[in-house]
Amino acid sequence: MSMSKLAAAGDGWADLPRDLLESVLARLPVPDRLRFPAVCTAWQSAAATGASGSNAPLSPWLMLPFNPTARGRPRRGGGGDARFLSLAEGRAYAIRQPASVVSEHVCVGSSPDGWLITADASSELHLLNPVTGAQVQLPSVATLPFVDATRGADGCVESYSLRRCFADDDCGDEVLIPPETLAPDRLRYEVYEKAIVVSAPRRLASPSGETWGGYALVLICQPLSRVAVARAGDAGWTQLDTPARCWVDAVRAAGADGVVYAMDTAGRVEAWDMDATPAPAPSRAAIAPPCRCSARACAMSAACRRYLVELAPGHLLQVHRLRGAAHAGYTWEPRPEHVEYATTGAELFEWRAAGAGGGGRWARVDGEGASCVLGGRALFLGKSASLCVPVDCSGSGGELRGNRVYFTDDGPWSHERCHEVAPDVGVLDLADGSYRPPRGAARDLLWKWPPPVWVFPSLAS
Amino acid sequence: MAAADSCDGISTSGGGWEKTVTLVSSDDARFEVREAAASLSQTVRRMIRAGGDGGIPLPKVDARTLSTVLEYCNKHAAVPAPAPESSSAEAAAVDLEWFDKELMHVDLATLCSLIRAADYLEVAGLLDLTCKTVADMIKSKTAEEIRQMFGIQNDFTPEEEEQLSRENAGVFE
Repeated sequence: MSMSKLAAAGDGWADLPRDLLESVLARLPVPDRLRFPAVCTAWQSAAATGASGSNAPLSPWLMLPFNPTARGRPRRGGGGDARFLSLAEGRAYAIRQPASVVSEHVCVGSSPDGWLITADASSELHLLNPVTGAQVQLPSVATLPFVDATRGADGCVESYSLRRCFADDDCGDEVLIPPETLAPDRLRYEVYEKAIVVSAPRRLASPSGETWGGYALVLICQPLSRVAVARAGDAGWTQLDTPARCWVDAVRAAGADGVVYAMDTAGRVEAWDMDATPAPAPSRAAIAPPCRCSARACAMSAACRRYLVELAPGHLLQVHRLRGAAHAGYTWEPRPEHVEYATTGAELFEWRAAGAGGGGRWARVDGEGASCVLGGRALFLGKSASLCVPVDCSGSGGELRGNRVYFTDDGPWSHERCHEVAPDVGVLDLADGSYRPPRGAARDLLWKWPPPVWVFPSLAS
Repeated sequence: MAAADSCDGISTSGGGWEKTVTLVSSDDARFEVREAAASLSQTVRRMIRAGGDGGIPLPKVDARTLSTVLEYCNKHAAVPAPAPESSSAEAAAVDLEWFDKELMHVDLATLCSLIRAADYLEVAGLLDLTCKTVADMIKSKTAEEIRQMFGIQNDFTPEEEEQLSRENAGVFE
């Protein structure tokens, strides 16, 4: 066969060489990559091998709460559809999830490589890729030193007991407050603040089928905002010995594998190297001193949240999210016990390092300065990894714009609040300070469960 | 490579002696091209290094496609090394972007030939451009729409199709 004839005829789309199909595939956003294999068998086999490599930019999705009154869709195998709003495209996608995930799991973390960390109805943690359906079981919550599980005859957890008070060495065995007993599905609201994927799981082939290895996670947990870590192969969570430090956020370092920046309530930042030592506890190095916040409301209120973002390798930004109680709307008694919060603004502090000798300071940036620091990118904050995401301005409109902060509600959570209070999800425009729900999601945000979270979809796993 | 370097210097001043190579398409059309432009193709660059007379044969590319590829190469090789933050460099980048966009205003058959030619000739920039163009065409289309657009036969068995539609159920709203 003459190649020139084939090229001249130009009918060769179906039999395009596989590596060409793969490079087309790598440039497609996730929903189109899901549809790609359905075109023909050649494209299907290209999609099967080419799924791992992608240089498509991050395209954030908002996982939407579901409408409990919606009917009609048959549920096969107990699974259900989770719905996602693609901000760049301004459209929603429904993707089938493994059994029980949609109705029962709550997200406590979301990684830039497409993984969600979810807590199931017995408060156990899992890694889940909501696009591919891949799931990884994480060490049991009962391995945390302050959690004990009471199991029934069938091995299922009947209740957890949570110790909120810790006896000092001086006090001997004296316990001031007895452990609190919690139902299996309630512990997750009391313990999990945020989970951060430091290293994403990798697929390993083993004789017994497929397994996942290579992952490392940091878990910020209550009481006292402490930190526990788990790595692939660990039997349990290892709590870090950081007395008198309350941790609020952590992000993986872009420049170094296995390194995570962690920030405490005072705004101090440390770098932890998860790979440095064979021991479960990472090695620690101080990076930045406390940060003074000018907003009294922020410094005084537990409702205000702080996030740590890495703009570029080593270039840190902390965001203070200011929130006010939105109780004014209730004119009748009794008022609900749970508190509704609404975001009222944000303060940004950029870390300015002073040369190679160390030292530096947190500098407040706002207005023009904030736009300059973000450089047309957008911030995504909430239970998800705190991320600075480049925005492709050439896109056709969409909801994704630069110099904005995209927030999801991240507590403080309780079972009641998660089921009864409309989540505080919104887009803060740094230029004019306006705050509103993302377009296309307003109606969905009338529903509450599961609490929405940013998802950075990926087919890589 | 000293000779090639001096060629570049002369080509920017214009009018001087320039080293050229002759490329021969599958249908025996001969193209005389500046070596700097032809070297954007890694395949041609290797053949130039290997030496030989009477033109470089490219049996997998026809004249029409090759002329478009060379249009791309000539344009991109003519751009001087970018001097950062100068306004002229910025203008050149904008001009190049516009040129690329115009070049992709072709019918699907031509695009298919171009993507294959860029792959065979190993012109990295053109391969990237064509793949991106195809990806943009596929975006937000269903499998059936993609098949119709590209004239691809649906070669799944009914059972396979049933399986696929079950997996993809609800990916769209």
